Amino acid sequence: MRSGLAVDIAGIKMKNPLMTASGTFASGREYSKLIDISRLGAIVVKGVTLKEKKGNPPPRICETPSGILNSIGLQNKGVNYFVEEDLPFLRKQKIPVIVNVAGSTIEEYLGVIERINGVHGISGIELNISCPNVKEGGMIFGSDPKMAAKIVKKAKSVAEAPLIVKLTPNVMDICEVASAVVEAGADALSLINSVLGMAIDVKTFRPRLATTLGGLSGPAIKPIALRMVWDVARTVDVPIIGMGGISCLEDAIEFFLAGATAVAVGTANFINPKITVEIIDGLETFLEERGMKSMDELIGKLKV
Amino acid sequence: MFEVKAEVIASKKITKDIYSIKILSPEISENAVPGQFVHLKCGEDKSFILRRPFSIHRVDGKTFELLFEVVGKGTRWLSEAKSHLTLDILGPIGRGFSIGDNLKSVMFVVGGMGVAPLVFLSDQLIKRKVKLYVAIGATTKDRLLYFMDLKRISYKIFVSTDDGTCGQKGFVTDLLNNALNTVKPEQIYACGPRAVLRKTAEISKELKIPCEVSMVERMACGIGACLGCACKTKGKTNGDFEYKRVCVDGPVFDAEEVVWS
Repeated sequence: MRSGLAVDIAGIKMKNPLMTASGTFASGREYSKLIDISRLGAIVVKGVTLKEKKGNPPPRICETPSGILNSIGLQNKGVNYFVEEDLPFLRKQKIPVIVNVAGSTIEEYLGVIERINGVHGISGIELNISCPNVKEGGMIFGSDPKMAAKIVKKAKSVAEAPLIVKLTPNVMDICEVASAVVEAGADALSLINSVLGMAIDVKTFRPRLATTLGGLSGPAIKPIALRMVWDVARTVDVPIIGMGGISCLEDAIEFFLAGATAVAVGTANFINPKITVEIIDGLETFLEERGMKSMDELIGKLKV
Repeated sequence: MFEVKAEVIASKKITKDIYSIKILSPEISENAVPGQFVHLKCGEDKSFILRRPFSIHRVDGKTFELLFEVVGKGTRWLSEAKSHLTLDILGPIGRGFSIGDNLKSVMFVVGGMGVAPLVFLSDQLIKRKVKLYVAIGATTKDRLLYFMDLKRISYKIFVSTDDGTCGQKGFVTDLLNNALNTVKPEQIYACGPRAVLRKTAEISKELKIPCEVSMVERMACGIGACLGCACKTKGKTNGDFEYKRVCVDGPVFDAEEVVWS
């Protein structure tokens, strides 16, 4: 791999800027049957909570025009299971592992962080204050700048690994939240989480998701995500991981130009499991063809 | 599981809105077991992005068949797929039906399109000389798919249609109790709408006949990563439950394992 693709997110050294979006890639094991996941710049695992979470009742998925609504509800087996059962596999991949940390109370978030502090093979923490599919915590923390700053400050005081804060788009002013969490100590930001939405079955008069509301992802949200990355990149001074509907090389390049240092692919993995490695290969060629020596020549280079 | 680019060999309309398609893929055909499915990309239209899951309906050498009903844009696209078209397919996926070593007799409980994977299963059971009984139901006579084939290979067949145009009027599960008074299968395999599976599970439990059901749920990745296709199952302790993945923990589940409420 050429060093030209290498990026650094708050000290997390990545050989390329392609990551997986939390919740779409589990802990990598399933996708490793179809792609060489050691080629990824980093892997962001599915949200981990202190105790097991059973998740929401089905249906949890609904396709909408150019997107999908989901309401998984952070189903996971808890942080101990993650560390003991999933992490050994991930360590073997020799790529940075970023743990998406979720909870319903500040104490739960801190509990997860304390459990993974010092654990070999974890390069970063992505603080999930933006999940739209849980009744408590999640997005509630991330939609109020004061609340967001409070939890980030506490998380930062406990966390030993770099702290990335994942933002929700379901706010009036994402820049206000971004500034607040950076002020509170966030080392990097990732955005956007899914957009709150719903769909109704007109035959039955029932919502298409069991929880009524869910998070919209996929190409449908890409323009929103891109705009938010662009806005936030001009507001704060920390690296940004851009995500939201990235499905091809061109999509990824748009996010770099808007100011993202790295990008994460989510929903597109479901359609084309090889999409991340295809974008990595495409990006390498893209830089070569233009005689670009590093990602710095692309990141934030939108001409307006 | 493989990701393959596979060629359409033939496709045909079976009846209104129902099609079968034959696909060449040695990887999938030679590794598939009855009850498994493939996850198929239906064209390049970016307005409907997800792959669609289809039961493997039949396997013949290096080819396999799908049997499907047109229910939306994806299946409409697939119904128009011509020979030589290349399809992007993940498969074979999931836990199929389990066939006990000394199995002597089984009953199929079929609801509508649920016949799709059971034809593949019947091929394997016949090879093993397992005695087959069939209870089959559909909305109307024209929708009793593979009825003549199943009649030919089964020892006894019980039929129902919602409108009474063939066999007993009502649902297939309405005739199941009577059917199981006359024949005594060692095992039941059910595939069809959730209500049919649920009722079949109840009846088989009462009669203490082992039963496997093929579940359907809205699905995204199809490989076990996204946790979208949740099926509520009994947990390790009494009263506890766990959401399992229909795609890789199923689609075939032991009927006793499923929490139906």
